[in-house]
Amino acid sequence: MPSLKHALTGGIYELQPDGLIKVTENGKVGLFQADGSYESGELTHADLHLLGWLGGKQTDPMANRHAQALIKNKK
Amino acid sequence: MGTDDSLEITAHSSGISYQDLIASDKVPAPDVLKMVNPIDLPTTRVPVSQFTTREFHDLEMTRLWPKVWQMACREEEIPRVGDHVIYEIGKYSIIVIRTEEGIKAHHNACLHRGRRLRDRDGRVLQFTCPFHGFTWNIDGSLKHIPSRWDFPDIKDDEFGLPSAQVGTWGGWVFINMDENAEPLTDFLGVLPEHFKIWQPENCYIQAHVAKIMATNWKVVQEAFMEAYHVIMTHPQMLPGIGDENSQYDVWGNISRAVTPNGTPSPHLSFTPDEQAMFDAMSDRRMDGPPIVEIPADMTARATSASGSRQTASDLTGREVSDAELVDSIYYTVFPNFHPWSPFNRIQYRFRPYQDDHRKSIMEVYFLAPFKGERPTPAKTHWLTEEQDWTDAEELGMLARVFNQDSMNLPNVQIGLEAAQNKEVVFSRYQETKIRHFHHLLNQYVSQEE
Repeated sequence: MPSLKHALTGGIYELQPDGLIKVTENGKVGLFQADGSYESGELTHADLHLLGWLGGKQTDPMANRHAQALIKNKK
Repeated sequence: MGTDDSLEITAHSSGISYQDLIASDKVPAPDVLKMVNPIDLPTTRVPVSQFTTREFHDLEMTRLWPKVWQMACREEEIPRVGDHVIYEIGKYSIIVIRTEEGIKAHHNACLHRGRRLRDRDGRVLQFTCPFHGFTWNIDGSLKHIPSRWDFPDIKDDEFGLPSAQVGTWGGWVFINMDENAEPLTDFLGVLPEHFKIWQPENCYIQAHVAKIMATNWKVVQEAFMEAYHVIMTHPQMLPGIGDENSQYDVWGNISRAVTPNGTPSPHLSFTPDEQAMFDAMSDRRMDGPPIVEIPADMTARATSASGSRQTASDLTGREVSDAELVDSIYYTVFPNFHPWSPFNRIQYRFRPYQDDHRKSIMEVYFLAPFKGERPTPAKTHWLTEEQDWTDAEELGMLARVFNQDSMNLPNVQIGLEAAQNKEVVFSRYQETKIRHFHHLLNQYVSQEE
């Protein structure tokens, strides 16, 4: 499943099949909604914006200028 | 306004300066990006009431908007005689129309009983009021009054539609309701010279999305005038963006920020390698493969730039620099227009929504270079207050970035309304553009009518 590492805290954010995001940070684990709401677990707070980035509505992964540029170059 | 002159301004933040960074680029940056003009302004604190009160909104409506040059539309949106757009700013409504004599702007109200003459954009060869039929030519001169005999005191040559000044630059149409305003070219100052190599007049509207925001227009705008917020609002970008290395400059009514990409944030406690920087720029997930593997002798900046250089160079006829292709180069034309360099494509406009000081319109244009016949400009895609930015698929990944910003903005308004402190505080350097904006805004709203 899609996952990201938080560049400042080192926390691992993992999107779950049910749409929740599992966050593992400093040995604690919590589950959160994409809007930042806490669901369960020992970890009760996570980064609102990274939760939204990973768990919110997605767009075409190639639709950004750095990725797009490389696609064009490969043609 | 608060003032603290005891500090010396620092022209860049910790880590490498933007100028040092571009000095090592493979394809050198153009001269315009080598200019540095930091400015220290007295405004560091602004009253919260400027974002929350009807009284300040009314001041803007009487002392700012009727007096200042503002972007109304693109020339390409009105290519034929009679084509027009309705430009609305707060309570004001202006018809911007192409005539045989050029582009003109008229106040959108019938001189008989006041009905708005045009409800929507379109093409007409005269303005006929839908109420009683008073009619004007598109140059604003009176054409017809039904039962003309019943208005004996009206003189035709004194009953033309009140007009606004019109100016154009870079394919953009500007209006100014003040007939005594300085010419647009004087107002824009250095801007045309800065954009000379980018030729925005030779770009077209690839996308145009407008969204209603439950936030004062200045609160929304100011979120797009600095890179200081990246550390908290866009944490996924940090390995590949030099947020704190951004350069901020001011010239007259113009301000500029340049935020480098392909260099790590100084806020990080580790140094990402070139692959990690590029992965952050291209939104790679931990569980997925990289979009491209960075060769050992390449940098993230050079890799990103090399990918798009061929297309950009074909379109422009010159070898486009790494900086232009990779970095975020964002200007502000006071008070609310934000042209970016063309390889970013982004252009913003922010304005009050109707006459409501707690609501605004945020507009995003993608302005793209083209070759050959001018493409048809995209129509405006409106999003409601409740809609998600990703409903505008044409914005690509940027829509998700805006969603992150939108998680803050209504909450800023709510916080400001509840705030017990009377002022907001802006930083000396990284919030230069916002301080410059308020410095100019203060000049306008302080003037007696």
